[in-house]
Amino acid sequence: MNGKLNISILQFILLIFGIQIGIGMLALPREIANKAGTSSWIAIIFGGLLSTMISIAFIKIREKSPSSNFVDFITFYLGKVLGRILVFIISIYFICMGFTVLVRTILYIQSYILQQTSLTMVLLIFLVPTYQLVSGGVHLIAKYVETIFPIIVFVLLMLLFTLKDMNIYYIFPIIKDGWMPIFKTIPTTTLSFLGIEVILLIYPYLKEKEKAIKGVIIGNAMSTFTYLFVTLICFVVYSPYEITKIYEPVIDILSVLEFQYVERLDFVLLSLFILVISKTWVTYLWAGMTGITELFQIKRFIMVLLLLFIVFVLITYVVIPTFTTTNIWINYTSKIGVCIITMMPIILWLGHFIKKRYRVNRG
Amino acid sequence: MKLFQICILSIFIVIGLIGCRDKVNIEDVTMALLLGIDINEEGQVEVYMSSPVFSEEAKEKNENFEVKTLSMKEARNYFDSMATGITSGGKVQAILVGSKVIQQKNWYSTFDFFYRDPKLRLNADIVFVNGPVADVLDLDLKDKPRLSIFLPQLIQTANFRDVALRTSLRQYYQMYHEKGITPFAPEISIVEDNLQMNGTTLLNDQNLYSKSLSMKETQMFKILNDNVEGQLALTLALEKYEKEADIFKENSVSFYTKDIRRRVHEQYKNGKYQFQIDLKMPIVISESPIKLNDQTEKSLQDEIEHTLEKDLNDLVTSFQEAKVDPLGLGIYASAFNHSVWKKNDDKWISFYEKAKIKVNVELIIFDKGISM
Repeated sequence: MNGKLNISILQFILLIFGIQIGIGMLALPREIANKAGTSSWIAIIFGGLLSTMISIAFIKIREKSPSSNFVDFITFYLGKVLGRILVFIISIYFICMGFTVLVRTILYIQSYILQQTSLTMVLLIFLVPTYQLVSGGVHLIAKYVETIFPIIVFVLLMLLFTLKDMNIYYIFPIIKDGWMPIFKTIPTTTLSFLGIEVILLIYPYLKEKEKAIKGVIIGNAMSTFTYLFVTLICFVVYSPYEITKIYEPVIDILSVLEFQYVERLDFVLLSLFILVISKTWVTYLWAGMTGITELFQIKRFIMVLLLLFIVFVLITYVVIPTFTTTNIWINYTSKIGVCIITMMPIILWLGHFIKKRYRVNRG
Repeated sequence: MKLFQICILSIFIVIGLIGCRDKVNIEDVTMALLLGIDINEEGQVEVYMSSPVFSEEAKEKNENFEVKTLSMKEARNYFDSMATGITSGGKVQAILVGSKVIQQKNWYSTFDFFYRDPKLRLNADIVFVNGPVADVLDLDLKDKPRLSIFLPQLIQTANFRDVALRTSLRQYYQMYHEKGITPFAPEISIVEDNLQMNGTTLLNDQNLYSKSLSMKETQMFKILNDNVEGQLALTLALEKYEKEADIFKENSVSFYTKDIRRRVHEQYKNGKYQFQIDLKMPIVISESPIKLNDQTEKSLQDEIEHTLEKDLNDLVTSFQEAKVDPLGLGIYASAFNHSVWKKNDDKWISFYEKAKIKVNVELIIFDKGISM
């Protein structure tokens, strides 16, 4: 590894935080309120804890082979054939996830801001910076994420202004219908914490490897806090009967913000928030591309990337994505994602275990 | 290479300029500042729009349109066919709703468009018109700015002076869907060729007209609801100090109040709700029927407390009789006794009718003026 390409612990934390906070946040309050009403915010804490535990497991597994690349790492545990198949599946999953997030973001832009512009046009414009960042590699993405970070803080602070219409009694009593619905909401909240699987890819680039566990804990804690903050604000501003009727409460809540000379601040904030979401798809696409190029030992990374973009444009041109279809995509990809993040540690550990056994037997 | 990059970058910047083709000049936009919906004598739904005209040649400063349609969005097509410019809904200031509309079932369905189109402004005020909407829009106000600018200002200042309240589209949506509160919005009427924000319209849980509040009742309601905006000035007639005179009875007391603290206590006993609303009101006396010193101040305070409590309790009783819960006591019922609420959330009003509600007022006179 080239020393210049390494990322600092702060960048590592922000990468984890950045890939988790994305489109999931915009609809999260509605989705969990559908499951367990206004008590569902407690489930976010559990989701966060679960995600932290899985992240630590990832780091522990990765520590065994710290500086090998992704393919070598998986094959180290699972052997050549199985390992390569797994890497291929995961890379495809990363690319699908990145594409889904990108298309969904463009749909938001089209629905809220550019109602008369065609989807393909907006996609083309977005692919330019995506190309720059993905081809720049992890150290460029890390710097980008670091630069973008103040925006999420700004958007979250603006949310505080909506509290002028709040009614604290909407969230009382804190546990409305017992603990069962809250536990049932945990899988939904876990979806919002997807992204930690990228740790396996960025770990080798981390400069101070001994701080990695601390890093994932802080990163997950930041995401948990952000989700909690947003959800609690939505729950005190919207009535419990109302919140299930609004698609993206986090965008809608901003539409009431008005200052003396600025009206419709929600458009400005949504545009800023798109930068925040961009971290998700850029990181996913980078992860997927890295997996693919390492797997097939492709030298011309850029050519493959451009080919992929052409496929993206063709898909949006042919399929015409809508909110309903992207919902289905998100549903599938995130289910696969949950399978991957929960099964990976177990599979890798099993592989390791069998290999050790085999070696002992042979020896 | 560097030159190549700069070239590519400039090409992208120039591509961005293509967007300028779609520019819309402000003179070409018909800004729908007021929208109205009403039912005419033949029972047809009419949609109105009023927008300011910036052309110097036009004699009228305002253009008004009227379309007979059931859909707000379709109405916009007709407006486009009549207006000077492209109609834009992003700046809607107020939506006027005729009094006949809110007596019809499902009237709120026409509002769906406001909550679906992200370009519409959800901070627009809902105002119920006591009478036909057309009368308000046709009003010729000689000494006022154009109507589409005057009316939003009126709503704003009346709310600031606490003689009327404000309900935005967003808030109305919430009151409509929340089961523990019934909707309300300000009422406007024409009094001797002048617009007047003179009260509040209360709707029942079916979202139909139920009751109107006068200006004074609106002030009381604002106190009860703890949404006093600036300083609320209230004048009460105290019976105790009434003098035997024909006109100047010298019995009125006026005071300002702000930063009211409200606490609601809730109890559920034997299938009956009990509410106690405690108000702590700091007041500044601005007009008094008696000379005020430290001793007489106490008796005046007791008298005001007594009168105010009576008025507020009467108001609450009248709400219960009219089967409306604009105070949102249902939200408290839900917060404190959720298991009971969960089973009966559709029947809240029938519980509310039977509930025992008491208002307690505690005054703090923190200023009584510069002379005795």
